[in-house]
Amino acid sequence: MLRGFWRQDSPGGGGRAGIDEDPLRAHMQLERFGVIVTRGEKWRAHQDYETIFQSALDAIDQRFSLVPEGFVSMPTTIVDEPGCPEVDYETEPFLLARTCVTNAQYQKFVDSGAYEDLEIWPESIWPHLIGFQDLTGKAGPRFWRGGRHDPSRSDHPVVGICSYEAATYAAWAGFRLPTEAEWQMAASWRIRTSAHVFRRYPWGDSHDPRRCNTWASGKGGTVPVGAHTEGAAPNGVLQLIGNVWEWTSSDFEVTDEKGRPVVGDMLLKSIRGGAFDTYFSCQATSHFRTGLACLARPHNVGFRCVLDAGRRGN
Amino acid sequence: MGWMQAEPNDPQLRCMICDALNTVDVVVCSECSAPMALVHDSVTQGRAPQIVSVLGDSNVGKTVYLGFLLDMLSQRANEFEAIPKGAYSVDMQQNVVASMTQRTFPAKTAMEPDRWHWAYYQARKAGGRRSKWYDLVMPDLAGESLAAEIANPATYKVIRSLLGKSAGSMLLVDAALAANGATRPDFFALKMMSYIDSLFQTKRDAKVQTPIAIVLCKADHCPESFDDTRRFVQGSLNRLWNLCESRFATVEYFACSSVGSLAYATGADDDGLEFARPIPLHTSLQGILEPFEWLISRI
Repeated sequence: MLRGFWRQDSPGGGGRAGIDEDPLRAHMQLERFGVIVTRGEKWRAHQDYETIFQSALDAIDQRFSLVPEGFVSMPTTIVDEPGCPEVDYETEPFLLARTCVTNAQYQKFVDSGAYEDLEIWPESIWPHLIGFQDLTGKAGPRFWRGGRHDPSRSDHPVVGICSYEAATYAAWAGFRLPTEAEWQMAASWRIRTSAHVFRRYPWGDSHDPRRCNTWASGKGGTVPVGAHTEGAAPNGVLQLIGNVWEWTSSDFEVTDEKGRPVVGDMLLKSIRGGAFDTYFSCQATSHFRTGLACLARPHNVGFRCVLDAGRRGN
Repeated sequence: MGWMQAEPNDPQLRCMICDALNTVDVVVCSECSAPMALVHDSVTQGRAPQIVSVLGDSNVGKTVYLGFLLDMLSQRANEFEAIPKGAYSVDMQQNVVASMTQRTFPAKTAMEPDRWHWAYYQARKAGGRRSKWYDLVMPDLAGESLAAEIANPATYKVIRSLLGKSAGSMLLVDAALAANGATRPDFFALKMMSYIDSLFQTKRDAKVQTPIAIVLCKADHCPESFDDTRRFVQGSLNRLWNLCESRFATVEYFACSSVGSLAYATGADDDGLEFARPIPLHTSLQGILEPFEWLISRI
């Protein structure tokens, strides 16, 4: 009922040209694979259900990797030094996208009219939704123009989106954002074994600017999400370190060294991994914690999706 | 080289900042408190360095900007090559890097000139036709001292001498404050540029030729200043814009930021007073090198 109520003149609004009228096919076309495999039951009577369901499963298998159960320790103070207070989290197995969401993938979200569909956004964010514009005033990521991404950057991570846009995209596609603990588990690969191995970086313990895109790599901007395969985690997940910071679903809650709360001008969400302009290598690691205003839409923060392991293919 | 040694066989050295004569064994100039190590090093180099002054109001971020700039240069960013002359030149960047990795801002620069950090670097852009070396002296001036000198010229002789001899300047302006409608950044910048204008005493219809980079700091707080810096200055720093248009021949506008995310530790101090201590959660450098690159291509 709410569709079309919000800014009908927006590009993407009513801009569903080229999208299949058949809902199940449209979901496949828009790469809402998570919706198909987790909520596909309602289309069981569809003549192509089995084929489309299998295709969605195959896409998830290609694009996601299993992160086994594990545990992480996170400092609770702003000063992360040996001996500082920490809290431990156990993490369940989950499927993590091997790459961040690209501009091309996010374009499908914009083209579907998602920015005009209030129902998919948290009600608390409705007053801000009108501000989620690109450089030309159209709905979409901050650095796009005319509701479109730069075609030369189709395979780069989408940036210029706030935490709500990231979370809403993930939910729209049938996924979710990783929690901060899950992200750290995926990057540090800390599996409960007799060794309790903890990786400072997905590839090992030494910073290597050739394995990731940070300031020291000298690229000066984002690179395609498939680059730096040499920096992959053991399960093939790429670019957990560098290229873009990644939004998580967790609030960023820490204290200073004297236990006083650290707050921002607005709610801070946890971001992880560092970006192409992260200057200090110690801030682009599997365990470095930082936060960003939940409504910030910077040039160096993207996101990747998660699917609970138990939900794939059920 | 005459400005270095007063007379042949004269053991006195002339301060490169204020031209005062000093005995060779003094640490800082007796007149302006500039470190005499600068003179000793330039004598060793056999050439006079050029002065690049970094100006701005208190708390605008001059020390952080300059520290990161020097650190980036010494890491050969953008194919720059920079070599510190004298260990004292490294102090400022080390101080900034150490502080920011610990998520604290460096301590405020003291008002006393003998406690300022001075950096003396040789820098060049590698390769190409413009690969000449620049000998640069870049002091970290205290904002309060600048304000005092602007308000009462000749309060800080060293500042007057420095700006009079600067081959180029970078004027840092708080873009976040300006975007919030505060007039202080505009007025401070206006005063600073007016001061520089008066230093050169050009004729009414002649413009100051010294290149000046207007650098909008903390621009991550107002992304529109990155999108169109000139438009932002015209809109939010209109007094500064108008003066630059009227009186300065070589001005360019830049936006930069160094703090990726800012938070505050809140609570009460040991005396029970409420406070909010700013904490740079992480560092993301944007636009630091561009003003410098533009400036040295014009000096």
